[in-house]
Amino acid sequence: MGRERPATDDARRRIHLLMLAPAVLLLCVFFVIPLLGMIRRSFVDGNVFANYASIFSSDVYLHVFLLTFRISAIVTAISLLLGYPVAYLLAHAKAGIARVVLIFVVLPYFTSVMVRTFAWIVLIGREGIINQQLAIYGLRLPFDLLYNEAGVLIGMTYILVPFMILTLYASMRGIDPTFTRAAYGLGASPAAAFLRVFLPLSLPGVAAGSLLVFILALGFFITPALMGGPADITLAMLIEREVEITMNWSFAAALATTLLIVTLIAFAVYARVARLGRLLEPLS
Amino acid sequence: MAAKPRVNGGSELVLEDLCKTYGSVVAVENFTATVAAGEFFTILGPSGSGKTTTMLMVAGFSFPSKGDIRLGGQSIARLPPQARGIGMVFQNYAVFPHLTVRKNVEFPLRVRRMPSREIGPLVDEMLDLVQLGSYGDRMPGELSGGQQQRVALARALVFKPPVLLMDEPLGALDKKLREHMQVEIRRLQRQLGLTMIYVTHDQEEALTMSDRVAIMNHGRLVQVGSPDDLYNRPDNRFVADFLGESNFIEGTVIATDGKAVRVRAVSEFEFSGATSQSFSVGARVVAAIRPEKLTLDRVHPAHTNVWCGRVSDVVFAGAVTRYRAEGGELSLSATVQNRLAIGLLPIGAPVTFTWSVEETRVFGASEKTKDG
Repeated sequence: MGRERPATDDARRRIHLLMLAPAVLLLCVFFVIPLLGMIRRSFVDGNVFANYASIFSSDVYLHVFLLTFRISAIVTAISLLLGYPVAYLLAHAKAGIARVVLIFVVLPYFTSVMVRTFAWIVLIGREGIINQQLAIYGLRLPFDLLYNEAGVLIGMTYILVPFMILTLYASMRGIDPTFTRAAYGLGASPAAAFLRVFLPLSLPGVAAGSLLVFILALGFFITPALMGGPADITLAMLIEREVEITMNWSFAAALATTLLIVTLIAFAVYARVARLGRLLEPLS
Repeated sequence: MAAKPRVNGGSELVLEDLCKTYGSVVAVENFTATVAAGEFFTILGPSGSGKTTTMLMVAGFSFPSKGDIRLGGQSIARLPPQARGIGMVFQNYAVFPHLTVRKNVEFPLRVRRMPSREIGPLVDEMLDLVQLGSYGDRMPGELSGGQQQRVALARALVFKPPVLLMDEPLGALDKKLREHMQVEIRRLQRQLGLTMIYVTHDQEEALTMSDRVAIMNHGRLVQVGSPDDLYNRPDNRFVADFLGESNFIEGTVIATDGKAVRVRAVSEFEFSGATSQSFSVGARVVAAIRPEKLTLDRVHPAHTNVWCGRVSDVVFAGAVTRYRAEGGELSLSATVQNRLAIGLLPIGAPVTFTWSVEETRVFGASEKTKDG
């Protein structure tokens, strides 16, 4: 029988490491090692950076990069415009109402992205429900909503808006309501109190939510593949094409590594902003 | 040259029969008081007494269920806070963390769309007034609690409100700083002739700072008066108990003579006291006597109330000694000045306490929170 209890700091640390071990092992075997393998594969024998050279020298690939960024940026902007008012109402609603609305915000996540994307196709397709309803009144949309950039934006925004809402909501909940109250007490109209006090205080949340949505949008595949047109090729689709059709795995690896680096840069910014947000919390 | 700050002298604030109910819960009941222009008026009470609700109604964050609030003769009870123009300092200061000290103080002027060239000098004047002249470009996060308090004060005063409300403004500060800020706030209030509504649960703060104090309990206004009035002439048991310490003796009225009543307590002990109420013979009453009004002098010419007992506890506290004595089912405390000549009485020693009629306040025994 050991007389020492195992609760010393050292023993506790050992137990913690032991508890982490399965997860770390799993990540190493199925994530880190394949990832390193992929990065290694992106370098070619002979001219090591040949793949990267052709990515950055070809207009086609640059175009895909720019398109991916553009779509991600637009989706982020629309998500912010749609999400901010919802988050604001959530943060100011009574607890019971807020809970119900939150459930509706999260509910779609119990359905797969694939199913939800097909649902949109049924809804906004050329012969979809929206056009059918309009046809009853002899109307027709002057443009298509599906199989073009509009379709991609609609689908991606729909899936990403809850991330924006939840991030904004969490940050707005952290804003002490006495700040708004103080603004009223000092003579500010509701509009002035919002613009001069609440909005600036919610900006860290806006930045965090926007970066999160942007990062997620960069890697989107299913939605743009199913709802976009032939010209709307995002980076993820390009990678898939290289793997499945061209069978140029080395080039696909180089594209994936480039996307990974871009995403990591965005994530580094996100991490900084999320910390900044904590600094702005009400002083205790 | 010390430019005289141009804050106006403040306005009279009338609270008339204010009531606030939440469903069946009565938060504030029949609060009536007139705060004179330039008066330092404190609302004092334990937590849950309705003092904060009363203040929220004055500020406009809560509308009264009944009654009226008039500021300088005009009813403001139904106006939103931003239309009342009352200055307010919150318990946690609510200094905007994303704005510099200067921008915080500018805030009330900016939202009033005052031209920038007029804002500058006003803000400078205010920052000087609260001794933060060189802190204009700091962020609130870099300031101490006391400095943030000053920012909140400057911000609440810069637009020259007719009334300034302060809600437990010193609660978060340590004792030294709190005492310093008490003096500072009082100085500003006098210098600017502010009409001040000050909410606190700290009786010492209320007594030292105020012109008049309103004591609240269970949503009711229990007594309003100067600190001297409230401490020395409490109208009821709650005030005598809440402010400072009191000995309470219950008994029955056996004779009345104008403002004085003769009371018989347990064990045939009789004494006389003063009252603001009228009692008939046989009424159950309670008398309150401050421990420091009791003396050990056997023959004090004015002290006609005499009680004998035995010392049961002695606490020497430097300047004073606190005695507790028991006798005839009564237990009384006396706080006496220490004098070399007297020395300390040992536990068990016989002792005689004497005190005057005027310093014995008599109230009805059943009443708890009735208005005076």
